[in-house]
Amino acid sequence: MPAELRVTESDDGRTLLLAGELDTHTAPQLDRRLQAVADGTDLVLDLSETTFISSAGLGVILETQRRLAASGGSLQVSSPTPVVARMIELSGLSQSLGIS
Amino acid sequence: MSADRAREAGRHDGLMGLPEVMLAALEQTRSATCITTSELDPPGPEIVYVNPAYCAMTGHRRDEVIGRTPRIMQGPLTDRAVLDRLRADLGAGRSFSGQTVNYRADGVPFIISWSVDPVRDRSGEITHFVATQQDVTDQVRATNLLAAVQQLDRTLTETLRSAMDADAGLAEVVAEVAAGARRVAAVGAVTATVHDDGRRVEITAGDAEAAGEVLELPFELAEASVRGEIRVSGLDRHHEAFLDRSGLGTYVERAGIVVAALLEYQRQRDTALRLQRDLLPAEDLLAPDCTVIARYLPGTRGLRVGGDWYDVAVAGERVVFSVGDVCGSGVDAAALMGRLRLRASVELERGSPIGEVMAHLGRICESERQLATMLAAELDRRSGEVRLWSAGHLPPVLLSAGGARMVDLRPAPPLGYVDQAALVPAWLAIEPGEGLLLFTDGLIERRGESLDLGLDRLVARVRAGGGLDELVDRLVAMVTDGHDDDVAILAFCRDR
Repeated sequence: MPAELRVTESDDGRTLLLAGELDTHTAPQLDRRLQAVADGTDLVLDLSETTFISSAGLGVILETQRRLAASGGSLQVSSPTPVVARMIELSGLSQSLGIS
Repeated sequence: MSADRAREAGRHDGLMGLPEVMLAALEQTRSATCITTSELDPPGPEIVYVNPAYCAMTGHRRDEVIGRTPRIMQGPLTDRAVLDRLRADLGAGRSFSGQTVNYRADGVPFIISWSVDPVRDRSGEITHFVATQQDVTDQVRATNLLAAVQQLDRTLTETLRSAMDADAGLAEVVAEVAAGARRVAAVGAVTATVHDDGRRVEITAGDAEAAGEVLELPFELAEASVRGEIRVSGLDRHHEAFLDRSGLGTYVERAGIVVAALLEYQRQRDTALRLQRDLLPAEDLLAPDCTVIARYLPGTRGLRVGGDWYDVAVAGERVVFSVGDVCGSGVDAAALMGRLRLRASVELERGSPIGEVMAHLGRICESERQLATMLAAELDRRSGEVRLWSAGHLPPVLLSAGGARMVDLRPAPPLGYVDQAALVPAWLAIEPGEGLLLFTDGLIERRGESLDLGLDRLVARVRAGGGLDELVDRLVAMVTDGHDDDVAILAFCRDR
């Protein structure tokens, strides 16, 4: 069964809840969604319902972080599940993505 | 009864003056309606009434059909099984609805969806049948075409995601082209053929032996070296008149695009894989005082080829073992991998410090707006001291007779990340006979599973013991069953 990812926007549009698996197959979908986020936005990705994240998924997040930071905004992730937090830690990105 | 009282009564029972309205309604509705007698045995029911909508749909004048049987509408492509069911339902006093091919007065076939209901008199006796009919030819054809196109697209997607080799993938798609064209044609048999650089794939859907006329439609393919066609065979003249040529034309155009996409994708994969192999050093790497084994395994699914690397650089007493992984895949990832590896190799062999070299690679990635992970292990081959640098890369496994284990290593962010912090190496000492296993995440990553589980499984495999050769073979066997991502492995141990 292919992976599925549902993206839900919060009322203020500043937080995106990613529910499901963020892998090679779903990363392009997230990429398209994140490209719609305006430059300069202070964006939070809520990973509390993200069950898996691959390097392709992290790549999409970091590319968006790069774009937002360059335009005066920011990107942080919040509430990652232990599996996802560990993946981020092993990629050396805990600090950079705002996870203590 | 006064006029007022009549109107009053009409309001109560609702039937006053209705026979006239009912006839006008029947005459003016756009539903084709036909009323027949109830005689089911030969010569069959007689038509007693048809409305103008019926005449418009069938092309018959009213006076041509009154007194005749509705069977004049039937022809060679009319589905006998549906007619048998019609007769059985009506014979049992039940309503019927169904769909089949009928013929217009000028002989042109069309698909009707119709229902027939018995009409009973006051005593409950069936005196007539009333049939309402609709020409659904366009809807049925549109539905068939849409379903065939959607299925073809699904087949393409599944083929691209699967671990099939190029020939099997092409056969799968061509088989679906034939099946889909057969669905759209609705008659005869369909053979789909694709020629591509000496490859020829031909697959038939339906009865290939059926005799009759043949219709050939060539594929329009974007790639000049690819030719294809579908042949609809086994057509008699009735079939030919009924064939949905316009739908077939649309389907074949679509099939051309799908086949071209598949072949283009297969070519891209070939190119990426060739480039990747060209840009990697040969697997029989040499390093003084060490045994080294390296492997590269392309991802078996989709375009997951390219981007992983392994290398060894020797500068005096220092030997630098490295593996890396450019995010993404395909030709671009393979090309950037080649650039990074070559750059690192030249600078490391010249004696540049690893921290500087990796910072340099990071700037290349940043300017390419790409990310890569990299793990470098610098061995002092006299002392056995190892320094480890990780840019977002998974830690190595210590290969030791005393028990293999993951090396505890805190990685810096990947190469190309905006705020590239200074890399701080970790220290380790290895004895002769001990070594390290460096690898990329494709070796352990399984969808929906935590990385730690994968790492634990890897360590367990390593602990099974044996020589370096045996170990690497075991690891390769671990990933050959349909892994998504490509994999680079580099294992070394100190000889003395």
